[in-house]
Amino acid sequence: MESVLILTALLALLLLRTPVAFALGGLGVILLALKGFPLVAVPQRLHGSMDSFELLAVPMFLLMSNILLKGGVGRDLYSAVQSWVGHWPGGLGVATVLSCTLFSAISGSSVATAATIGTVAIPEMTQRGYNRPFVLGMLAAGGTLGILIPPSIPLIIYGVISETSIPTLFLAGIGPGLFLASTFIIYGIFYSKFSGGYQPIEAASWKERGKTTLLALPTVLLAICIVGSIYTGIATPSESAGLGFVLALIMTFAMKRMTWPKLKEAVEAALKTSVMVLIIVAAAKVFSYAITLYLIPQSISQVLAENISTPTLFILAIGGVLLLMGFFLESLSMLLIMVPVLLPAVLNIGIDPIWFGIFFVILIETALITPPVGMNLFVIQAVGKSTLQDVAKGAMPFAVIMLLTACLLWYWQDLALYIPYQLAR
Amino acid sequence: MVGAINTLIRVVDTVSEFLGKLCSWCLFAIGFFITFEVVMRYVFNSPTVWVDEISRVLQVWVVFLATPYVLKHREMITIDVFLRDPQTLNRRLAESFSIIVLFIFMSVAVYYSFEIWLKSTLAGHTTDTYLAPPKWFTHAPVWVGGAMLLLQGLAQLTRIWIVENNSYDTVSGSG
Repeated sequence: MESVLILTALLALLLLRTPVAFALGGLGVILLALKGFPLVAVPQRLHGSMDSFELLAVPMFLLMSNILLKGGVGRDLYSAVQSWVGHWPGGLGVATVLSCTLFSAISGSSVATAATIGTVAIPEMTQRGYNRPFVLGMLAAGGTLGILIPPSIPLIIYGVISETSIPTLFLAGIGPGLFLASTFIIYGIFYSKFSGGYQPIEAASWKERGKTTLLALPTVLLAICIVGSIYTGIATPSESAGLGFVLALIMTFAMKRMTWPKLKEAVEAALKTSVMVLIIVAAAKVFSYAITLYLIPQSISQVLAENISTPTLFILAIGGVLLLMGFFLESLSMLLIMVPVLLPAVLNIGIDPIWFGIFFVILIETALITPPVGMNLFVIQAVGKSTLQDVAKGAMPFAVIMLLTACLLWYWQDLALYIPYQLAR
Repeated sequence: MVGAINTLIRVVDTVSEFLGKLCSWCLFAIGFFITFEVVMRYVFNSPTVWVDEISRVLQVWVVFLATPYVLKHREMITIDVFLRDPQTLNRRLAESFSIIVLFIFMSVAVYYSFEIWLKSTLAGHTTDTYLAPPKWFTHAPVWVGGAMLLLQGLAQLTRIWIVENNSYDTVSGSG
């Protein structure tokens, strides 16, 4: 009963437009005060949560992606991929998903991926007669790959709160990330083929392909450098993010794409996003400390253990709850509220925490493109100067694909776990 | 009266703005520190002893000092389902309520953080890490940033009712 009341109070605060960080922190303080727990724990948790080298990966990856964004890397990537696959049936759709996949390997954020590729791809595709809701939906969904394909900010935060290895989580995200990208491409090709109406483009000449590929090459090398430095053991995720930031800076200056005003904008934008994310992480630490003292994760574990006998039913129940929450909650809030509540039950029932992290992120991805609260829908609505209804309509088939992938992941766990546990061993 | 309030709000806004800009360049510096560490370790086989600790200390300062700046720019992550029209009375009441929640949260954090900080400072404590920086510096971000956040919250609250229409009109995300 206590658990239901607390979660209802939190939801009510959030729906009343209380910023997520204040809602988590404020409710945490009230809960501690109500039962007379020492409030000195509040500043200790706040300070302790930020005193973490692992979390530095978040601002560093954000710095890097903002610098690349200002450096116009999205256009380079899109042009290069388009020159290779643009003449295929539904080729611009293929180019869009591939560009999102490549940009995901350097950004770590779905919003950044959707905004960067969307700015270039939406005008290009709509001018060529592709169905507008389909284009918008594809961009919204393609952007979500940013948080599954490594590096991924939600996976870093999941790793920190669940105390699981971030590099292993990154490896586990590769399989489902590439699988989702492939299904998006296949859907895009079939949709374009059967709906028709678009103007095919001619195959690019080899000279043009060479030119555009050369321009995109530094970005691809940067992605390889980041992922490679983590898996060869040269750098931790935070170090590789810092290294990536400096390399991105050198790269954009060398290509004469960076100016002082652009740099200032990039650095300030990175700070704002970093702080809005990290202050929630800090406040969530206070909230999760309070609910742990109230034994809420344990009581939820107990209720689940008493009423749900098989792991399949358990995952189905959790999936349903997360899907429902995803309609209303922003992705990071879902992660920070639900992981501390659910993780003890997940471990109790014998589910691999790495697998659960990937499953959770796929459901977060779905939440990003389902109304009424879906960050990628809002971003694409703004970038594409369109209505939310159009974006949501176009994104619906992709949301179904994501849900089917989450189901598949349960029956074929090696889709996520083969790379970290077998291939990379 | 309104003139004096406006001046006070302007002072708080200016300080928050300055702190935000300062913090953004601190973040920039951390990126170089980390790269320096990787280069020293792998190229010169001579890892540093300061990068890890300095970067962490700076991160704590950056997060707490820059939160007022993010609040000023109305970019705190908010769930934007109901009360979308910033002009309505209900919306103003909801925003005022959210500032009260901020006060509950941050006043507790500032009070106890200051208490811890004062004790450590008077006792001349240092951290038990390799660099052993004084605790008056490492333990100050929560109460300094928190106090500034309370002031910025007050400025936002005043703006809602007295100065101009105010709204957290952005739903932002990180995902």
